[in-house]
Amino acid sequence: MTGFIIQNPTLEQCLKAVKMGIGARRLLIMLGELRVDYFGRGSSELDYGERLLIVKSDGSLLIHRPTNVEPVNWQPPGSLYRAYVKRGLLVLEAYRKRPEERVKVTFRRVSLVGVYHLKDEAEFKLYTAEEIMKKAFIKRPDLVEKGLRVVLEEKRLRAGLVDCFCVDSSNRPVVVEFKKDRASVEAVEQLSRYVDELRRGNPEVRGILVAPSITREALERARSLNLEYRRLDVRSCIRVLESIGESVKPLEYFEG
Amino acid sequence: MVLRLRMAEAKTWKNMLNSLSALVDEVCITADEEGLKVKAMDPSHVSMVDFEWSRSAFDEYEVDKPTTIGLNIKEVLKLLRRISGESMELSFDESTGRLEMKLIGRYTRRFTVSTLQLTGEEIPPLRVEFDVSAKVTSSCLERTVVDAATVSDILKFKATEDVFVMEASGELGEVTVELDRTSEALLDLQVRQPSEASYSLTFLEDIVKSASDLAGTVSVEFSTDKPLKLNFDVLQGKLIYYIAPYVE
Repeated sequence: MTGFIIQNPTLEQCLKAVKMGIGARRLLIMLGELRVDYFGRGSSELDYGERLLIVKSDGSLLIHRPTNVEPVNWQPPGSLYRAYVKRGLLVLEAYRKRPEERVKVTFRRVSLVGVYHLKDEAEFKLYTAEEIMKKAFIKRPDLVEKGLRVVLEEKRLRAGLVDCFCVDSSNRPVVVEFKKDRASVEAVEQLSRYVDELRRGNPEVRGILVAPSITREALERARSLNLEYRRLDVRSCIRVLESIGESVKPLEYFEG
Repeated sequence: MVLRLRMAEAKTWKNMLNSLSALVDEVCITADEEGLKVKAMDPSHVSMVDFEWSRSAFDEYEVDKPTTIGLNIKEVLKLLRRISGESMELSFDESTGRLEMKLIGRYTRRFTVSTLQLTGEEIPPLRVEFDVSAKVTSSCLERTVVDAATVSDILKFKATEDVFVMEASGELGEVTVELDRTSEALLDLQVRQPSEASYSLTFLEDIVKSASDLAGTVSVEFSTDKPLKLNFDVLQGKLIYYIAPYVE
């Protein structure tokens, strides 16, 4: 991360930093007392107040008040900028051609201006509830069964993609499938297709359906297909991932 | 089969379910000739509850054979949110699988909920020797836990011959509660050997907040790097929790 920050900049320093930041497509942050006038699809005005202004390297503009998640004014990426001094005040204008919009920000005081070049190439990943269960399980397989070891974090079969492929303490292969809600007959049938495919090669293969609860029909169906069910809910998995981790020694270590 | 219970205060039933909701969303309650019993472990196997409520706690208790009732606690508690000073009659119809909660006050309300077919987990007993046993007021424990949770995720219990200490520290600061034999909140302290152990405040907070409504005092038992046992002194029954230790 490269860049600089100036506290209580002079007007000249400020203008220079703003022009440099926007011109070089850097991230510009400013804290100050500012007013906002918007003309475009309608018009709005917001009188002077202490706010945070951000211009991102793609030209997005965000003006935040001290509270709320959403910015009070904003412009999308690709906006054009002009910065100048008028009557002793710094003005920053963001302009967009279609639809024609103009946001004019007038600073009465600037307490902080910062210009940074940020590198961020990481992929943003949002986990589904089942993925959270699986992550917790990989960290602590004993959540499902003592002695279980994860061999493959996923396994592709003709019948589909298996959530987790494991072996138990007596080295029997185990297919583990996660459901975030009460497990239905469909979930049992899905697991059964995976297990059937593997049992053709090895009749010893076990299948465990992991869910917070199971319907009576599903449990009966599972039993008739020689499949197992283990109770586990997303709340516990989040607890495991967040605070408990590996440093807690679970209660089964103290069983008589 | 017959299962019919009557209690003077519906709030007791609510408090009981609350004390279980700290650990599990769904629970199996067994009713037999001795009373109601619940043994449950939270799915991450970090905490466990052992609950019994003797038949003498009820105004009427009629159970002709051991029966297990599976309940979604959260759903039932939603219905019980608005109870006040009412008495309650519980009855279970095995053929329909429905549990009726009849609240009798200035008028009668009847809530009927479906029960769940739950597979009761076999929960083996724990074998732990506790070197420290400290009896404290529930309010002292509750306040300590809530204070500690504002600075940390972990609460450390320490005891030497004459002092019982609970402490937590985090980036925000530190919380220390020291009880010696002169403290009014410490009713008894037995120490076989000096010990210290740490436990998850996430679990402690949920447990202590809900169980404090049922008991005025609680025995805190632990040993170095062994589980914590919280034995709440409930009238006519028992309410014991175990929490797994943090091990560095």
